[in-house]
Amino acid sequence: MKNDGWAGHILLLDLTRLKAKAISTEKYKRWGGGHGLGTALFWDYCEDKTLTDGRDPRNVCVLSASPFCGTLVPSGGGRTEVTGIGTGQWPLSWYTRSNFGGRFSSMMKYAGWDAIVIIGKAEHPVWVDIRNGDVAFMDARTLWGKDTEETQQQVWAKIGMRRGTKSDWKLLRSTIDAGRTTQKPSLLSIGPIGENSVHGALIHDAGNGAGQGGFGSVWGSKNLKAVSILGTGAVHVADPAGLIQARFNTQEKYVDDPDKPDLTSWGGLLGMGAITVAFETPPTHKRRPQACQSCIGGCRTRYENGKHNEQSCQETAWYGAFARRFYKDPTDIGNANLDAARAAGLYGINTYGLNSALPWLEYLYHEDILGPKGKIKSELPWDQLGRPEFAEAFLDCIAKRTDIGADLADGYMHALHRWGREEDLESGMADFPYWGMANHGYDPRSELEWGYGTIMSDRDFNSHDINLHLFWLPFLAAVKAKPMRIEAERAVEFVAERLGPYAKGRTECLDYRDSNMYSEPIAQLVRWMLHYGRFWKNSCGLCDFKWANFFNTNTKDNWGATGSEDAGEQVWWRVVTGEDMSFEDGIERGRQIYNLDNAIWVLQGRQRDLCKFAPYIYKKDVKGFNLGMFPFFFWPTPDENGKWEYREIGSRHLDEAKVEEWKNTFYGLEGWDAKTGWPTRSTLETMDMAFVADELAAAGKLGEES
Amino acid sequence: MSSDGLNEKERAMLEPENPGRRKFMMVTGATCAAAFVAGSFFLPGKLEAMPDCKGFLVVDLNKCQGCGSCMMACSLGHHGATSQSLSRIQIQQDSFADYPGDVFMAPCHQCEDAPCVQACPVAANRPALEMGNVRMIDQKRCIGCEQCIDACQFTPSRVQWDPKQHKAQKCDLCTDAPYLGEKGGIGGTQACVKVCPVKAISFTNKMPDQSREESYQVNLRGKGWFARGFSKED
Amino acid sequence: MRRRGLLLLFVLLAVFGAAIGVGYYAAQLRPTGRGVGEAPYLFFDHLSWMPFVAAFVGIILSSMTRRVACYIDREGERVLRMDFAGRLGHWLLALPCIVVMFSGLALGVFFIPRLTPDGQATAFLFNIHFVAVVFMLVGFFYLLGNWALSPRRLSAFIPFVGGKANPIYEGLIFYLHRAGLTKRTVHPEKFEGSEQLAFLMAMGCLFPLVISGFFKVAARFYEFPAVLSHFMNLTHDFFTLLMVFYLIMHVPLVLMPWMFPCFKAMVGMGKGGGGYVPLDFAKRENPDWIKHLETEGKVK
Repeated sequence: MKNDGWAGHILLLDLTRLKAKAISTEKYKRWGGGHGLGTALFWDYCEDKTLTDGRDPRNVCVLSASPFCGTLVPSGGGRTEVTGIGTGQWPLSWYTRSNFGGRFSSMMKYAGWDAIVIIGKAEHPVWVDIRNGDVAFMDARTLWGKDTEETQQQVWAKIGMRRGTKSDWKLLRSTIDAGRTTQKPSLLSIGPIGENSVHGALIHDAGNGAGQGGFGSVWGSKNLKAVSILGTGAVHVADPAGLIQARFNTQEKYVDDPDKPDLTSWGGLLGMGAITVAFETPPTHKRRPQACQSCIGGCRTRYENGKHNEQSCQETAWYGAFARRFYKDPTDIGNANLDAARAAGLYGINTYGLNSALPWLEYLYHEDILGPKGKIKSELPWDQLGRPEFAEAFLDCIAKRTDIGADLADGYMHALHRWGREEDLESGMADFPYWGMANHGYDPRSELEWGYGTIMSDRDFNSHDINLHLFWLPFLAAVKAKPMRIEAERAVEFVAERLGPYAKGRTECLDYRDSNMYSEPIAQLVRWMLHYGRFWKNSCGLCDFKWANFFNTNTKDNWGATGSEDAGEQVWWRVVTGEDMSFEDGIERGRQIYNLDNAIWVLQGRQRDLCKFAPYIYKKDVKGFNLGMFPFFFWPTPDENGKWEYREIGSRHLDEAKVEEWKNTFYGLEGWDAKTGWPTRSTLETMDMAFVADELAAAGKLGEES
Repeated sequence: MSSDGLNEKERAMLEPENPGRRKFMMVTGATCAAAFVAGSFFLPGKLEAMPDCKGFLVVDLNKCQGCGSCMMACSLGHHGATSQSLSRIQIQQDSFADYPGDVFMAPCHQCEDAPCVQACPVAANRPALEMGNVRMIDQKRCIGCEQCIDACQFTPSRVQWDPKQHKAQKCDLCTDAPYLGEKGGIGGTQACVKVCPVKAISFTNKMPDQSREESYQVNLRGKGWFARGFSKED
Repeated sequence: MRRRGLLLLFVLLAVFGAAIGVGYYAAQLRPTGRGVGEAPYLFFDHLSWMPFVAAFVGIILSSMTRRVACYIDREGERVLRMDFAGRLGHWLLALPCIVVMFSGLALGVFFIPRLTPDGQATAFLFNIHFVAVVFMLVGFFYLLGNWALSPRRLSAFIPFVGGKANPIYEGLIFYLHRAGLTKRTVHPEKFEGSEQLAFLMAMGCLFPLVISGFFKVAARFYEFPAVLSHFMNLTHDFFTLLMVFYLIMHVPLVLMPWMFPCFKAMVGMGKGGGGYVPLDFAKRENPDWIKHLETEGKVK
């Protein structure tokens, strides 16, 4: 392959020796950038794949771009994938992933790097200054302990970039030919929580965060405070005119007119263009949309009160319900919620965990189990839960390991077990259904692909592909009393048509009725989603919000962009890299990447018995209330006559024995040994992964052939 | 020693020559020199008034979503590769600053009396008369002296440096954008205008007020924008 | 004679220095008076006729001086190697040429970036370049005028033709012999081989530089096709670098100890007057040349 789309080099940062080295991307290109690239690099550079705590200095953390990064691929040019062994999961931390948006991966590509591999541990805190091909390790002892905003601004100052906008061109080095830029460095940094706990997130600019996996804590354990990149180079693409024209066409055909929005459209977030995604109404109109590089419609926003900049989506999801108890005016609720969101960003915490942690802790407080007089001592002002001051105090105690933070800092499940609160996992009051991770918000007993996809991988599934289309759109329509723009049957037909090569056209894969919960079609769906996600999303860098796009009311025939001839994922791959790959070829690549992931998990100690939900998921009596965020859960399902409608499918449980049977089906379809969940040699060799089979065999962990 | 500075021996060794030739050269030289001096009064001056550009880019600083798509489209259309440093429109951001001071958009103004054109010592940067007088830099003539980059009075300078070609470049309203895939220039497409997902850049034929930089900053937001939840006021 | 030479040198340097001073003042930014911005005053823009006039001034100057043939001054025990006209032409070309080249390099050529920090400094350097170009063109066309008046001298410089020995071979053998690496010697006429090589290199570089330079100046007021402009720019850049290479060879070689009497002669400090080398030096270094002068009766 030519270098079209690729920068051509990977930067290896050895924190132990404080040395940097460039390696060629060439042999890694088959894995496709992003997650695939990161996993292949982890495979080569991690000396001990049995590690189960990401804070071990032998952990290898990779930041990966993809051929799309820094180019015009709609909502594909700005995401950075983060991979490595995570922290804070239960019973152990898997090799896992996260990603974040903004302008980091594009800057990485312009600097000439496809990925950054971080190994070892520095003797004292450092930050890394990357300017094109020049790399320097800088002392970060004066930055340690500082929040993420102060860290980024101080590093900008050290590099000589002033705050504000409207500044002149700056030379990277002493001559004009070494490169010049008007841009600020793109920084990724950790806050105090990453330095001191397992909940650390990586924060970039004001509101881009990689939270899941605790990679902020991985960096903290390596004494790495921040990485700064400035790049002045270029990303070549195979078909520049083709890319531009495809982008023009996509905007015209698939996306709302920014000045004439159809606010009830069913175009997915791709179709809606710039719309702020926030769980409480933004408190003011005095703001702009804000987007990652190349995004076709920003989902974040920047405010007149700059302190709230870029806080959206998940950062605004964890505290709003509490803020509503204290404030009645929507502006006050919005401001309080944004203050809490900002605090989370400054401290650098993975806010997903708080989705379940805070309600659980509040439950313990109200039961007098936790508090000044409780068995679990806490002097936090729990009666102020809902005010921004409480949020800050809570985050601070985790950062400083004071109060209950001393226990929570090692993980929510770690604290739960330390406190002897196993019963909360039986009752569901501790709503951590999978891997010790918080419930994302979609009840895994209802939204099957989410729950199954999580236990069949390493972490909270967090792939909104069918969720945005088959849950959110009908949910919002119901809540706003608007008509269903696409009938249920047509909706599932659109989705099913893209489920090749495994289940093309099989609408039964989307049937989430009780009678279909443990079926082979559901297993095919989960496989497809894992494979689609591994390649097209996490390796190519296509944003989870905008992709997949199965149907879209902006187009004449309502077909969405996914897999389409003019704007499908494979179109972007072709115009950028020159490789003529089909949409389904990409699914196959995703299968290979997923198998490489699984091989690492197996080496870490994965057995099928570990792949299960928390006890309350299987309990019949827990179905009395819905888990997650939503009071009801619509999903398209057919009745006994085969008529599809959007129906309520909440409030049920999963049968543990049947889930185990379902796993057999899943393993069989993947070509893995159903006894263990390990891949077999024959499966790996069909994917040209004999080297993986060899290493598994050497460890005595190769699945038996059936 | 005589008045011509030669001693006797040297005078004796003077080389023979054709006296007519010497006189011819003297007269011809003097005549041609005088002709050039006189003719210099009739040479076209470099600083004659330049014709106005027939197209301009105006921007809405309050609308931009900071996605950089314009920068990518510009560099891609002109160079076949995306690059912020090679983009002829620059978007600068400070993600921690208060809106609307968090974004600045810097298109070329196609100035009425463009200092970058005046500064060019080889007339590489000049109005393209057949292309609507757009001020553009002929890459074949440019010698890379960087005078135009320094001459631009705006911050950041609206002229960029191409380190591979060692030449200056600037916005030409996509007149010469070989990878655009459609006709550019005045009367055609501007990549940044067309690619902007929020339509924060617009093309106009009307020259903004040259005495105020702010005249290039306009309000492109309306009711639809407000319906999305964003302010339509300045 | 020496006094006159020194006076002439002083006047030329003073004029040159004054012109540079004016160039500095002109390079300062001032309002253009045309609406927006400020701009420096570039000599190349406003005095573009002057380089062309300089060429004709050189020709006029050549018609005002006479050539003196080389001869042996027995009484003075010296030999005239380079007459006043030859010395004037050489230095009027060479000294400004060095300034032209260094100012040109600093303005950026091919892979060498501009060394000036900002537009004002660049404008000043352009003005320095202009002043040095004007002086250099006077010297160059003075030389051309001299050769037009004394074609015989020109034919002595042109290598390879007229049955002359190969100057490259001769130069190589000469220096190898000096270094004791070969017993072979050469028998040049006044070691004309080295002068022919120098002629080849210098004129081979200067002609394209001057032609492309004139073209670049004319481009300020005439619209040439872009391809031609591009070709002329590349030519100017390429031969600048070649000229640098030539100077790197020429200057150290003429400053070698065995060449020092020649250098003194060139700068007007020769034995008993400008242009003369000691007779014993000449007999030692170029015995065949001395024999040739005696044979031709050029003895006084």
